Amino acid sequence: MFSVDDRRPCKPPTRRRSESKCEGMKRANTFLTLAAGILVLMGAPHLDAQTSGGGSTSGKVVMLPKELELRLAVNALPKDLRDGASILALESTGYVKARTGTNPFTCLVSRRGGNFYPVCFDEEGSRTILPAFADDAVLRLKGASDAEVERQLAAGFEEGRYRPPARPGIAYMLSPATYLLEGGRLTRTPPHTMFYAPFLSNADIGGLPDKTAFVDRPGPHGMIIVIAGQKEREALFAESQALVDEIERIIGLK
Amino acid sequence: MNQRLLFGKWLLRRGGNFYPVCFDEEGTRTILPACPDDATLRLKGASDQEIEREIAGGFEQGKYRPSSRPGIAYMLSPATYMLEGGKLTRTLPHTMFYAPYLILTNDDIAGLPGMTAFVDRPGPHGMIIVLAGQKEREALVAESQALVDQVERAIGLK
Repeated sequence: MFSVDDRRPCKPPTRRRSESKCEGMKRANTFLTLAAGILVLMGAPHLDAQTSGGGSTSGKVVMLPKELELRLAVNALPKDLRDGASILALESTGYVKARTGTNPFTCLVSRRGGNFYPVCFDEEGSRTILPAFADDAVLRLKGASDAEVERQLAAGFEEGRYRPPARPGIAYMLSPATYLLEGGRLTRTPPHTMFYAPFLSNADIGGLPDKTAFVDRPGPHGMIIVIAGQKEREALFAESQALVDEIERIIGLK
Repeated sequence: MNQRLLFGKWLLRRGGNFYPVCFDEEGTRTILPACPDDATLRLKGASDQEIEREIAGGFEQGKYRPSSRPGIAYMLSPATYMLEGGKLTRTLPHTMFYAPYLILTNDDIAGLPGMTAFVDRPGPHGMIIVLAGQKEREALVAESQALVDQVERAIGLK
């Protein structure tokens, strides 16, 4: 999960144990490079993000038909967990609960940082990380620029509205219909699983983005990323090919 | 950071199992100390029950602690053996994430062993387990086949 804002000039670290923005950016770029490499192998397309006209805004908020948004949201989970998950759907005023589930996961199609991907948080992530994702989309719907969104989210942390997870947990991003901005274009990214790792750095775990588990977005909402295995990625893609095609047609990319 | 200095590498016998594991600094500081104590007690002839009592006592006395931050332990060797029905059995290479702050259970993350990430040994040294992918497992076995053969001859599996 990366925002265009990750490409701002580097800042020194502001929190103990966190990497500088520059280090985080380098890691993020490495992940994107890895993702792009995998995608080239998979023959995935690069997708042009459509701009809203604001020069500093990474892209307009992509809206989906509700039924498709719900199907895409739970596609981030392992198959056996999909039926029991809660789902949030984005409407013109923000996310609304579309389904109350029976397992600990809440799924949504995130527009965080101008990206576009389904993600499912367990209860701890839903309590602590998800609110920032939801507010990001609301600000974007109101026309806020990337810089404004990031400023608002940073203020939210300072004011205690957003917090780091207080216990370990998981967020799933196993859908092949996962798109991150790269050079202003949405690019399909490999399915992965994330583990909450507030304030952890790659130095702490020997993280090497193209070789091992690694830390993404070091800071209060930092995560350890584990990319799905090659055969597992192929199976996920085969299972969801129709959904991927549908999404890419709907957002005008096929 | 020097990767060779970051991880503590151990060949463990915890719980009567037999496997190589590498903890990052936090795991080396908090989780690892219980492992050599387990082996020492085992070498002295202690039973499984006595060892578990000793380890539990160590937590109560503050000798062992849960991890205080997230981190990783790698168990990616195909020469990894767990006791099953009293017999060492080869187990799948995997990566483990410390799940320590609270007593995390599979209920918290809807863990389904074999299908999703799942919690192993819920408690102060609990871990979330992620198995290596199928193709990656095959590559690990291929790369270490000679080592696996050598280890399995040594432990009587071959």
